[in-house]
Amino acid sequence: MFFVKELTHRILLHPSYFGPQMEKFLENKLYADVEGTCSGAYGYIIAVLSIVDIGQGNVLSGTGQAEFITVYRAIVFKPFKGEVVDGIVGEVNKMGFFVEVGPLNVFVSNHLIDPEMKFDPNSNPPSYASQDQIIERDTHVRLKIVGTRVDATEIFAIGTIKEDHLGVVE
Amino acid sequence: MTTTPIYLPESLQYPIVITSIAAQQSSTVARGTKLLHYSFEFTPRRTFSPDPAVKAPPPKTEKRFSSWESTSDGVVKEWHLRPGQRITLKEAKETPALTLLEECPHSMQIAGLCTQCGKDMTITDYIGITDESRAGIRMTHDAAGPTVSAYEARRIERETADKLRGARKLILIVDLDQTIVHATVDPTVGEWIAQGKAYENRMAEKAAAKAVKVAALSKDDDDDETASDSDSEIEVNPNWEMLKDVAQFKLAPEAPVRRGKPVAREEPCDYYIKPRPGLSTFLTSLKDKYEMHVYTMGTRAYALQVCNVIDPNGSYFGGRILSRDDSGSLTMKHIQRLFPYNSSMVVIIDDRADVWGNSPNLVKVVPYDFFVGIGDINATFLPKLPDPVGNAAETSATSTPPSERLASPSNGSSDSTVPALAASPHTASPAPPSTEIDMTKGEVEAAIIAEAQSKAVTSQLEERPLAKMQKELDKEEEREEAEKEGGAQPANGHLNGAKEQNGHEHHHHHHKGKALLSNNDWELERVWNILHEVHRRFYEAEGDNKANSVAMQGKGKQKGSLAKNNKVPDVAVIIPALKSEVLAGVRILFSSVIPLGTPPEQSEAWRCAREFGAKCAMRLTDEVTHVVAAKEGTHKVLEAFHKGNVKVIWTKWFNDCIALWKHLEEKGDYLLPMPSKRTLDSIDAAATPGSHAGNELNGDGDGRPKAGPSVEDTGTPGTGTGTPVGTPRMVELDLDWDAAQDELEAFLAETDDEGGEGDEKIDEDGEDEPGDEDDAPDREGRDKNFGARDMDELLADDEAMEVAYGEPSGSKSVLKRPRGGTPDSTASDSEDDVTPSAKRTKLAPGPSALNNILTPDEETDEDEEMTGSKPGSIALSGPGAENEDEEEEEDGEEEEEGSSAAEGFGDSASDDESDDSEDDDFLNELSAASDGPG
Repeated sequence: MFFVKELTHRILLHPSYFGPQMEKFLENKLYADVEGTCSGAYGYIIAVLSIVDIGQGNVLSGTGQAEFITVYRAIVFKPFKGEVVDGIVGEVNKMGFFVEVGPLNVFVSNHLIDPEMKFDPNSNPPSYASQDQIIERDTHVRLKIVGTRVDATEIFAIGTIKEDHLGVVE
Repeated sequence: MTTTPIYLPESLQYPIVITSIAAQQSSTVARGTKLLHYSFEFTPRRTFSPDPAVKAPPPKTEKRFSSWESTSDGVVKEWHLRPGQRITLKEAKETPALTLLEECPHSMQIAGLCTQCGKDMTITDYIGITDESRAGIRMTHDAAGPTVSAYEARRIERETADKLRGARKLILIVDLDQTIVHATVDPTVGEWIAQGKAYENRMAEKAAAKAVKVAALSKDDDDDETASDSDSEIEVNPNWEMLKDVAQFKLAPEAPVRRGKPVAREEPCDYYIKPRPGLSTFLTSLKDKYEMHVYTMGTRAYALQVCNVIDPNGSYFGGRILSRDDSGSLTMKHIQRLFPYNSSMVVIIDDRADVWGNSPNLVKVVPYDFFVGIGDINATFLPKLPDPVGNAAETSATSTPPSERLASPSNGSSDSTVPALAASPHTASPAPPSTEIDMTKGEVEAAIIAEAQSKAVTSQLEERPLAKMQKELDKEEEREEAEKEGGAQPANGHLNGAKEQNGHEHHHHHHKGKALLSNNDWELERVWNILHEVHRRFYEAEGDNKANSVAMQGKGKQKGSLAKNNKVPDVAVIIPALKSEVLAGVRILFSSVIPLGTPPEQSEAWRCAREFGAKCAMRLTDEVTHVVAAKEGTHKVLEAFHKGNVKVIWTKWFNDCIALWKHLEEKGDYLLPMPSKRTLDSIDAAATPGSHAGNELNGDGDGRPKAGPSVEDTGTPGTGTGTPVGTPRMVELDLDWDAAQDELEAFLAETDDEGGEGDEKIDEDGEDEPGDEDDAPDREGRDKNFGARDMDELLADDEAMEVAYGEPSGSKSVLKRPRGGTPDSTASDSEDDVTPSAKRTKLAPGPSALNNILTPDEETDEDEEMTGSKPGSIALSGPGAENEDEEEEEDGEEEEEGSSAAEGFGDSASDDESDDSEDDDFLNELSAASDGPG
């Protein structure tokens, strides 16, 4: 699920950057630092929407660097158990297939695929196919997340397409 | 819902007694719910009282109570235990305590999640057992793929097998490097390709120009001339023809890992991949018969790139690529990594048998060595394969057994890594210093390997071995041209690249000394035939089974007999069967092949011969059809020539037969040159029956014709009175005095520093010696003394002995000479008998004349114990005779010497004669007996 969330980020700035361009630099630094990262608590930080407060630069004694505690608003994506998401199929093997849901990789095991869809190792590329549907690399599918595991910097998820209205998206 | 049998954990204090069951049948349990209560006997540790005078009372065993908690959620379906039952560890392991109806058995997991219920498997609590352990088998190619439980693995394999059977396919695991492609990073290749391309371009331009000119024929004539001028200038690189299908890609070199962090990456370097000739046909035609998987020791990035070259649209391998990064072992490959329970449909092709632990599913291919001398760029951390032996030119006492290139480190576990690394020349870097102590063992290994790997690559980049070789080649060519030699082309055919050290030469000749590289390789064709045969046999057996089972069912026979006949065909049976047909009916006697000190049955050569259906003999019997020799003039070789109907061939033949799975014709280069008549005669003389070489000699002394009659004599005990005086003349027959002199010198030199110069094997024996001596002071002791003595001393003694001759009892005490083993050492396979012979080699490495002279005595010894029952066959010259089975190399030396002889031989002769005195009584008796008819 996507959220708009107010987050903070700490930037240390070297004295050589102190000057008229400093704010611009801080912004760029913020984008570079946080966009595309994943935190266990909030999920993937997709994009920074706005900077609420760039912070006061406190010069640290000893190094001379300035410390900015920046407050910003960002779109975050965190998968939840039971959530239905769309994604693009990646690798397919006899145990199931991987689906890329944006930055998140979801594994759908063959237990959670409709039993009518059979793995066909001889097809090229490998695929799961039933009479009227085929799932192979780059197919668009809709799946339901059945479980997630959150690390400090990574999120793993398991999905199913063995329910109504799930599976290949035309 | 699945039913899962639950076993009592092994960690309980067995034996236990069940006191009560807490979770009754059909009750719902969760992780941590008490299942049952039990009691066990507890013995506290013995306590020591502070006062030694007061003895602490012996610890009392007491009854304690505990409970067992469930590790998973579910409903109790059935208990197999009842209160009051006493359970031992064995019982706990064998029978499940209860069956549980589970919502999800967590049989497939990925990244710590169950793929079925989505539960986090990594949660640890006081119970101590995480659910992660329930799916421990990784059978996907990708290391990031899911892991499965044993049950699930079996199910998946069964499914796969059914699918394959339906499609009448088998599984083929293909190695990349040196099996179907050859890779190098030598920039020379890039230059050659650039040259070739430039040449092509110019040719194309010229063709275009010509076309233009033809169109505008009348215009100008000048251009035409210049064009023809440039034509002569253009010279294409001689290797271009072969390099046309070489693919090229860039890959960043493996960054050496230090303290877990990769060091800054270097510039990516160019890799050049040469597909083995006929590869595309090979893959296309196998596609319908085999599901193909790649299993390589290269990195994942490398494997993907190579597959991109040989299989651009993924129709052959389709993502079934297993690389070193996914393998889990850096030195070994395991079928079980991909097919944990059922490998009956798996065929492997690889150029190295050792990494597979000589798996029966393996079809070993001859390594592809296109970029001459480059070897396998991804195997630098594997132990180097010993050079194949059997090259007649460089036979020496140190020659390795032929099949040792098939040898395996065979300690399949990863602990072989460290020695393996040590063996690799590229890992000169010492073990990581202690500062890196925080790295795990695996990390250290990986780091070492990465370093070795990058070193190897760098060295290739810098040294440019190919450019060097081409330069040498050009030089050689010039020289050859100068000599105006035609240069006969060796018939290398299939064998191109079979021998790396020969490969170079072969290439030379094929391209008239011009191109270093060659396209001559038909290995894939051969492998293709084998793979087809395996496939045919598998499905033939399968068909039989089906027919059988149908017939059985028709007759309504019992299940038992059905199962018996319905044996599932297994590749691991078919391939060895195929192999064993190769040399079926051949009986091999090895000469100079099996190293001293190894029991022949355990040697690689022996094992290989058996594997390929040949039988091995310890000594030359009537059944022996082939004598496989690593050098000329060994005793067995001469004997075989003498015998006549035995094929005497170089080990090259044996190696090639094994490499090609084909009984090659024994002709041409494979045959050993026939020794000169004289040499043969000498063996006759020496080998004369009853081996009474001693007697024979004596007989000679008595005026018999030279060694001539020995043939007729075969099988009869020698004649003669035992007078030793005749000996010298007899040996004189075929002595090459110069050679003898050399040998004598060599011998003298060698005796002085024992084990220093000798061959390794012999050294080993030397180490054993003291122990042996203790064990058998009688015989071994004498052996040693003999060897340890200086020649001078020996000779001096000889004189003494000569004097003592005729007084058997007296001289016996002075006797110091090697003696042959007892007859049972000749015949038996026991390891013990290796020692004496091996030792003798060491001790008396080259005293040809001595050996010759010692002979009679030895033989007599033998006869004495065998009561002359074995006339000709065992009685061979030289001490080697007794232990002929083992001493391969030794006998060679002795024979050479036997055919020549040594200076100062008279002295040694007398030594021998005096030795004889030991057995004199018997000898006399014997000769008297045998004299009768003569």
